[in-house]
Amino acid sequence: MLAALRQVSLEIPRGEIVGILGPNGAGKTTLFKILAGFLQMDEGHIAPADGQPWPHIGYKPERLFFPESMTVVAYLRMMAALNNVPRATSERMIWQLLDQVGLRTAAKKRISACSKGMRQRLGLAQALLGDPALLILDEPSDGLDPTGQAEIQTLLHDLQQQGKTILISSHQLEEVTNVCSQVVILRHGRILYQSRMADVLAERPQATLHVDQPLGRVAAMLQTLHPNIQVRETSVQLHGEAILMRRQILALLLASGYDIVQIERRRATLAEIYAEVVQ
Amino acid sequence: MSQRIITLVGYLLYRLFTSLTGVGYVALTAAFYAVAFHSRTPEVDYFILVVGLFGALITFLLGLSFSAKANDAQSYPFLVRLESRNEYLTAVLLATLFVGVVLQLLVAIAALLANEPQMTLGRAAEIPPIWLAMNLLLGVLALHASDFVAVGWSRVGLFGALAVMMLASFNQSTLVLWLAEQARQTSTQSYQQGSAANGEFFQNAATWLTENGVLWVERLFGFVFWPFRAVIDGVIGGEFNRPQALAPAVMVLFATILFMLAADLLAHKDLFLMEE
Repeated sequence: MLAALRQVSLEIPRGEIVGILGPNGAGKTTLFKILAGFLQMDEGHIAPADGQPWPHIGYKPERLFFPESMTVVAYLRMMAALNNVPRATSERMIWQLLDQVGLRTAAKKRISACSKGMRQRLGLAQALLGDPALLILDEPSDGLDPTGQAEIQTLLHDLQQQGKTILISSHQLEEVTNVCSQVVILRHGRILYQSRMADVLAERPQATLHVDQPLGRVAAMLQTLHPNIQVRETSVQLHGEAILMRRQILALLLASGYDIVQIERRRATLAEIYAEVVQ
Repeated sequence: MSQRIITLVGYLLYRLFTSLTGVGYVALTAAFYAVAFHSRTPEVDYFILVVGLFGALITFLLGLSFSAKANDAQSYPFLVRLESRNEYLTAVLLATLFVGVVLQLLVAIAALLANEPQMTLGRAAEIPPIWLAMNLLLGVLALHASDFVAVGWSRVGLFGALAVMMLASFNQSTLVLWLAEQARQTSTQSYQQGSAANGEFFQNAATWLTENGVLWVERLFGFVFWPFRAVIDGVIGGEFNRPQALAPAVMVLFATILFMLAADLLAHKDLFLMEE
């Protein structure tokens, strides 16, 4: 069995963007290589949720290696030929793709002369060639500037609209939050957490009550009420179930002579949930 | 499938000839010609065997080079597009054979033009099956020697078995005499321990080994190398008898079996391609 992945069972819903998160060495790249057919797993199971296999997979590895002396467009032509795309349609498809990933101006450049960002875009372009039903993108926006990252996010949304299933791994949790409809957190080769992004963000609500003066007098009393109550100098933070006690706490604060200057409610961010799960 | 294989062959050729390795092969070919043919007019048998040997060896080296290039992380996006990994394996073998034959022909043509060996049509007709069969077999062996195909101890097993066969085949009489002596000693010990049946059995074995052993060791360990000996004997003798004429076909048979084994190894292995 592959040491990097242990008994992982994962069903991938069609037409969704699934974010695979985890610290370095968690098994994300191994998971992708299993899906792409490079590695075999003895235990566990990774399959499309509807049981229908993907006819064609596009794969962008984390570390990109290209034939450096080839031009960008020649490389894509070769990839199109490997996809059995007829020559007549491949040219149109390649130039459309170059537009899509923002590489048209670099088409005739040798790959060795391309910047890291351009190489990322080329990696993405080759994965998209041949209209794959499943896209596996290992760190798709690594090395891109903020504009480039935003463009990739838009592109991923467009691809999802076209019905493609996309798996991405990224250390940029904001990008995952913006793009993914599902999230899976891996650690030490095991799935620690799996949920729809909407549910992730609805989980662990927080409420913060800001008061007009330091809470010294009632701080100890508040902390004994529930372990999910955190007392700061002039604010009380309630997490999860402790939110249900907000009326009781408000009453206590008012009775103790504090004025409530602000009540703030918010959802936990993916970064907070990730940190909690991984730790 | 054929389009994909042709594309992969083109990619491998591109990789080879845009690298120093490709230049190295051309230089090696020129050096070989200079050493083997530049200063002498070759006899026909010398020409056939030496160019054949060069082709086989350069094909083996090319097989290693192309397999190494296929085993590079650049290949991940290719492999995900293929219906079967064997398409890539076939492309590696075809590229190997293509370049091997081209370099071999360069030497052959240069030797023919410069040194004019006396070549009859009949002798010229011997050349293609001999050269191609040897190139094919060595090309497939190179696949097994490479990280691209090898799994675990597979290459140690294959090349170890070949080495054992070669040693046994070249030291038949020593091996047989040693085995006969061991059987004789075991027989004596058995008699001393009162086991007449075992003593007689090992005595008979020792006698049989002394009388027929060389022939059977030759059959047991030498069959793998027989096609090479048959080709050499046929070329030097100036004509092939019927069994010798089958030697290239036997080489192709061995190559086919080894290629199927390579395909099976590659199809079921976990691919960890080289990330430089």
